[in-house]
Amino acid sequence: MTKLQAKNIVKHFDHNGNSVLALDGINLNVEEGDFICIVGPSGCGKSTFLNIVAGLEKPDSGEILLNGNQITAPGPDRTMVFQEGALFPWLKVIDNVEFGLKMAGIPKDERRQISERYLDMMQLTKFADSYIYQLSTGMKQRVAIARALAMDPEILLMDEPFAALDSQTRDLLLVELQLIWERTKKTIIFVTHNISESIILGNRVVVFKNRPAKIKKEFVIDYRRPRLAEDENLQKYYHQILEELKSEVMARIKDENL
Amino acid sequence: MSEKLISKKTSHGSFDDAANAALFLAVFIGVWQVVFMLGIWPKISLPSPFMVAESFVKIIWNHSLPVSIGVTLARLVTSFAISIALGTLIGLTMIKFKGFGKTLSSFSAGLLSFPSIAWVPFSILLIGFNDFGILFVVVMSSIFSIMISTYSSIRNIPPIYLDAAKNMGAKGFYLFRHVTIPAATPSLIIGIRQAWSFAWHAIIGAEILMSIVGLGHILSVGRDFLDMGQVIASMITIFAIGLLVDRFLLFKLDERVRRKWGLDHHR
Amino acid sequence: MTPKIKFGIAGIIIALVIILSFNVNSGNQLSHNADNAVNVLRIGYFPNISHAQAVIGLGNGDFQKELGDIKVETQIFNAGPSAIEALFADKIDVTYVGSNPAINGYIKSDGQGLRIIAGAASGGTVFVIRNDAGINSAADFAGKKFASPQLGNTQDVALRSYLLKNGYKTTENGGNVTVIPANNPDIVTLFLKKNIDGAWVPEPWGAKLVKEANGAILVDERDLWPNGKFVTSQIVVRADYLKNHPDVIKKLLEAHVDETTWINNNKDQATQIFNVQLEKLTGKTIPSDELQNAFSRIEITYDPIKESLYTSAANAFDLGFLGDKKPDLSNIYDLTLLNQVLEEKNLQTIP
Repeated sequence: MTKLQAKNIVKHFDHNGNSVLALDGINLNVEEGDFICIVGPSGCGKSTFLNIVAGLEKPDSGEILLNGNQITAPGPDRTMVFQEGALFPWLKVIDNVEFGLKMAGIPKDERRQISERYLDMMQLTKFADSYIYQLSTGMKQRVAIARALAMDPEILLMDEPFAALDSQTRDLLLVELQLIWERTKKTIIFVTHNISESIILGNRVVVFKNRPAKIKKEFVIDYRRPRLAEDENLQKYYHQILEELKSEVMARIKDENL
Repeated sequence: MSEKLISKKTSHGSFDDAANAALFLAVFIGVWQVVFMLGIWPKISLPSPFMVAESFVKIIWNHSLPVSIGVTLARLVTSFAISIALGTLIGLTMIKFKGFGKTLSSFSAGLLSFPSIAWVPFSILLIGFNDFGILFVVVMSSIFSIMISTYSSIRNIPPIYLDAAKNMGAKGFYLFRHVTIPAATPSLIIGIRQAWSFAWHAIIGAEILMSIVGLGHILSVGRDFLDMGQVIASMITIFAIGLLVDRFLLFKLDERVRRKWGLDHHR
Repeated sequence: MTPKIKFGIAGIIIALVIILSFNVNSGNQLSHNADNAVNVLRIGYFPNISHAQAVIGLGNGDFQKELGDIKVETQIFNAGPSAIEALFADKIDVTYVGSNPAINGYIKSDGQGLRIIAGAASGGTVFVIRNDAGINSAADFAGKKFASPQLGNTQDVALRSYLLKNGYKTTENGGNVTVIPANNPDIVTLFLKKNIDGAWVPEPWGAKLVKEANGAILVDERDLWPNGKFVTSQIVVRADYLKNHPDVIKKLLEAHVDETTWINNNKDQATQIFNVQLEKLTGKTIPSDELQNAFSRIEITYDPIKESLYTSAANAFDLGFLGDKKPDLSNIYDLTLLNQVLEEKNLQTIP
């Protein structure tokens, strides 16, 4: 069943007085249970697209349909894990995870149950009463994931969530995320500039073309799970996507030099 | 584990601090006594520490000091509350109406450094020679601090907090109360502490010029009657109260927030 | 140094200070060296009618002429306490000033710090009430608000004593009459804004309030004193200066007596010249009709009218302004030099 449809999303930006076309008609269908990775060079508009899906930005034209209904505003049915710094430093870890639940009016005991479950899933039970500053970057992102999942969203959005992590923590989280996906059966859209990440995580990898962004090519990654970074069979996908991106980077370099 | 270690250090630290303060004060008083005995200034201009202590006893005994402290603090708390309420309101208006906000904030340097005493003649003419006139001076002296701090604190909130909250469905007043305010709090507290010190300056100045009761008044009366002992005793009281309130109220508040946020946590 | 040692040292220092404070007379100081020959006389005064001799004589050079080689330096004050402060802080040597600041200074310095050496003015204060304040007599003071130029000054003591004598208590003492301090220009504003109902003021403010602020004179203070005489201002000198330079002071007194005589013999001219000098000092003049009116109630004299000062002091003591002990003013006057000058001029001396 089609969970999310992006129909002809167009977005302009105002750059030093000039109107620059950022997204040039993005069309994307996301099926239920998909793990879609969006890959592209930095600044190509993939985060903008994700913000539009989240409802944090509005497209100039086009629409986003979730379960057939058009979305017009941000909401807990499309929770997002940001790249960094989106946890509230004035709240403890457990209160951060419960934030959305409390807002939705869920009673205290139920809230506590749900948030403890997800903290447990992210192996953070011992840190429930810690404050954010006491956590490492990896742990913070785990909390962010727990928070996003606790809202039981229709679709989970992730905007380069592992970009600021060291490679060991990232590798660990890549495995954990796959396990969580299998366990919760969530539909996920994951934005990254890291090709390895995209092929480890995604069952579909969508390559974004340079600004103005358009979907250049889509790859289906049909491989067993959990996938590990050093897995050689993934190499062929890696090279294919790399080729696509290389021409993008070249085009971008030409662009900037003009 | 580390929390325990930290608290042990600070409790030792504060004993150390107290010892340093005690030594400093004792040396200060000692030097004062020596200067007095050398007779460099006539005793009518510079009394001895003992004479100041006598003045203290006198004004405590005849109730004028406790009463004055009460009056001054009551006025101060009232005007401070008004400043916070109005200042915050105007600060929020500055955010809502961007042109207004920008204009007012461009005047901020002049508004913040405007000397509180300069409000007195205006207040006498506009409001009158009474408690309301004094409240006016104190409010005008502290309100800009609150206003501008509210404006800049809220504007400087990292947008990502608001995005994350909206993403979870927060909007309107809920967003304001549960995200905007807590996120702005560390910065707001700085503004409040600044406003407090402005208000404290202002109340004493206004009382010297416009009042028949209060700490400023006791100071002024001491001077009118050439009672330097009373003047110095009032000054010490004024200093002590200003320090105590800041140290034990505002500083603690600031510290609590900073601890939660880990603002002083350096790895 | 460990904290305990620091506390210990602090304790020892404080103990020493306490011992010193008790053993030595509290207030024992090593004495000053006497000045040697001096060639400057620093005079303080107010731009007031009650300091007319100073305003005129210092302004037009009469005093400097009399003092010859001794350079005259002047400093203007607006209130008695500041003048006395400056006197004791050795910023001026002699000043024109009202009674209560002089009394305070004398007491505060245990009778050692200053001496009154001549009078300068008598009378010239009035209790003015606002015409529409509903006050016809002393029976109508309940619930009213009055002002005086400064807490504890000469007019303030007069006002409060007057209230007391008429059976009223001020609000600080549980009564129903409010007395607030306000400087003279503010008093005019407060009258106009109807914020106060009356004020006890020195001239020319009395005349001004009557003419410009809808005021009426309820009490001319002269009516409260025997022969209508009471000291409003006088000349006060720092005791050590008097002891060390009597010759300079004598010259000053000669100038002062001459100026007094001249003013009394040339009232109209004196009034005009006063205004000229006033403008030099303050940038403002007093309208001549107000000035004439004001001068009509004040007497420029060199008689210190000693009895009135003692009475004023007793009043201030009764109001609680002078501390717990009844003040002993026995040595506050030193009129030796004044009387020498008067004798040399064949004028009647002051007993």
